[in-house]
Amino acid sequence: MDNVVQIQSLHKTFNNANRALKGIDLSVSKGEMVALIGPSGSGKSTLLRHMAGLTWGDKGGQGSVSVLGKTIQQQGKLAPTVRRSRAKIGYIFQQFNLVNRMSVISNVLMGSLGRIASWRGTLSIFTQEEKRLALKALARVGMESFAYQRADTLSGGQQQRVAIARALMQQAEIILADEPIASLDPESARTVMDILKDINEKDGKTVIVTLHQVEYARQYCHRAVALKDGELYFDGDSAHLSEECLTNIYGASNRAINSHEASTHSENKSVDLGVSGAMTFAEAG
Amino acid sequence: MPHVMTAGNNPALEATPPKKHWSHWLIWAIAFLVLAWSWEGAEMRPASLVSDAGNMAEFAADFFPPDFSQWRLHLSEMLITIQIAIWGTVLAVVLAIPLGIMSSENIVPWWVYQPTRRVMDAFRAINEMVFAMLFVVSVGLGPFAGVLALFIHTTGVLAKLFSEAVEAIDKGPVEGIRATGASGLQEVIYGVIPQVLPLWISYSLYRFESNVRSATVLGMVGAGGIGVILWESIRGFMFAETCAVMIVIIVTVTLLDILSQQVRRRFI
Repeated sequence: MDNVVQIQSLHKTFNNANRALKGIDLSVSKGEMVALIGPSGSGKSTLLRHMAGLTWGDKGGQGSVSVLGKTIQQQGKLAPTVRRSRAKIGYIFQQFNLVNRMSVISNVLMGSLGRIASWRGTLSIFTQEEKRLALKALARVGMESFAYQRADTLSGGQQQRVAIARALMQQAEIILADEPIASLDPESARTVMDILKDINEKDGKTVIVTLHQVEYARQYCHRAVALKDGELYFDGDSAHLSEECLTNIYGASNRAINSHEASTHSENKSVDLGVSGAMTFAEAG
Repeated sequence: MPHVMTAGNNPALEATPPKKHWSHWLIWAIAFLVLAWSWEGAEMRPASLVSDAGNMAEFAADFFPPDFSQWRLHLSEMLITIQIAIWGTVLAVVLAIPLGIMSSENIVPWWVYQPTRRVMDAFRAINEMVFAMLFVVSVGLGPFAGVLALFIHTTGVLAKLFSEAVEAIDKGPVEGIRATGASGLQEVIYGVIPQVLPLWISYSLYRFESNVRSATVLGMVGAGGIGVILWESIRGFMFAETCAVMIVIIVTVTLLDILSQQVRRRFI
C-alpha cells in the first residue's frame, strides 16, 4: 500500500500565539476513507487545509506535507509544484465555495482548470469532451438536470453535490472534505456522505473527511483520527472509539449533548433511511 | 438546562441611556469654530445679496428669452461632448480593471498595491480641467485633449472604487478555484470578477454620468465640446445664448441620468 498522504512533525501557530497544530505525524494509505474528528478548535480543519497547501505550517520547523509522492510544503514554504499537486486533490468546503453567479456546469468545468492548457482555462474555452465529462460528473451526484441553472439558486445540499462534481471533474486521486455536512440538514448530509462513500468504494479514491458528529464517522469511515488541542489523540478503527475515549476528546458535558443529538439523528434515520438511500443509489448509478 | 436566562433578572430592562460625554459638546464647539474661521477666508457677504438685488435682476433678465437660433450647432456640440465622455470613460474602465486589481490588498502583496495606489491617488488628485489644459498644450486644441483628461482622472477614481469592491469579496469562491489547481490569473477571473461585476458596472455608469457633466466645461480650456460655445457666449455677453446652451446641457444630463439609472438597475 502506498502512502498517499505523508505528514511529518507539522506545527502551525496563528498570530504568534495560538498553537493550532503541535507536531502532527500522519500517513494515509491509498483507498482509505478516514474521518478526522475532534471538537471545534482542535485543529482538524487546519490540518486538512495544510494537505492542499491552502495554509502553510510554521517556518523554521522541520514540518513537511507530501501528497501522492509530491511535496506540498516543507518547513513552512509551499513547494513550487503545489499548483500541479492541487489539481490531483479534490477539496470540498463546508460553505461549498462555488462561484454563485456562474452556472452549475461552468462551476463543474472549473475542475478542469488544473489539467488543461492555461490559456484555454483563462479564456473559458472548453471542449465538447470536457462538457460531456462535466455533465457525467453532475449525473453521478444526481444534479445533471440543474446544469444550466445559476449556482446560487440551489439549496445547500445541492450546492455541495455540485462541489463534489467539481472534484470529480478534477479526476482527483484524493478527496479532502472539510466539514462537508456541517451546514446541511440530516437528509442532505446523508446523501453527501453516501456519495463520498461511493466514490471511495467504486473508484478507489482516498477520502479524508473532517466531521463534527462521531456517529457519521463510525457509520461511514473505517478509520478515525481524533485531534485534541492540536495533537493526535486517537488513530485507529472507528469502531474502537470508546465512550471513555470520546469523553476525553470532547469533554464530559459536550459529550452528553453530542450523544443526545446523535440519538435523535439515528431515530430520524430509522424512519427515512430506506427512501433516501434508494434515491441516492439511483442518482449515483 | 443551566444556561437559560429568564426575563426577571435581565439587567438590560432597568438600564438608562448613558449620559452624553463631555467630548460630545467639544465636537460641536469645534464645528462652530471651523465655520466662523472659514467665514473670514471665504469673504462671506450675504448682505450684498440684498443690496445688489437690482443688478442681479437686471443681469438675470438678459438671459430671457433664451436664444435657440443656433440650436443645430448646440446639439452637434452636445453630441461631441457625449462622445468625449464615452471614450474617456471606456478607456478608463479598461485600464482601471488591472489597476484596480493591483490596488487590492487581498489580491497582491504590499509592494504592488502601495505604489499602484499612490499613482492612482495622483491621477485622482488633479482635476480634469487641469489635465485638459496640459493635454491642450501637448496634443493640441480639440476633443481629443478632453478625452485624455477624462481618461486619466477617471482611471484614478475607478481604480480606487474597483479595488474597494474587490477587497469586500467573499474569499470562499476564490479558494474553491485555487483548490482545483488554477493559476493566479484564473483565480481572479473566476473567483473575483463574477463577484464584483455588478458593482463595477454600476460604478462605471455612474462615472459616465459625471464625465458628461465634466465634459461640458472642458471646452472652456479648449478641449472641445459644448463648453467652447458656453465660454464664448459668456465672454461675448450673449447671455440669451448662454441660457439656451445651459438648457441643452440640463436636458441632456437629466436624460442620461434617467437612462443610466435604468441600465444600472438591471445589474444589481
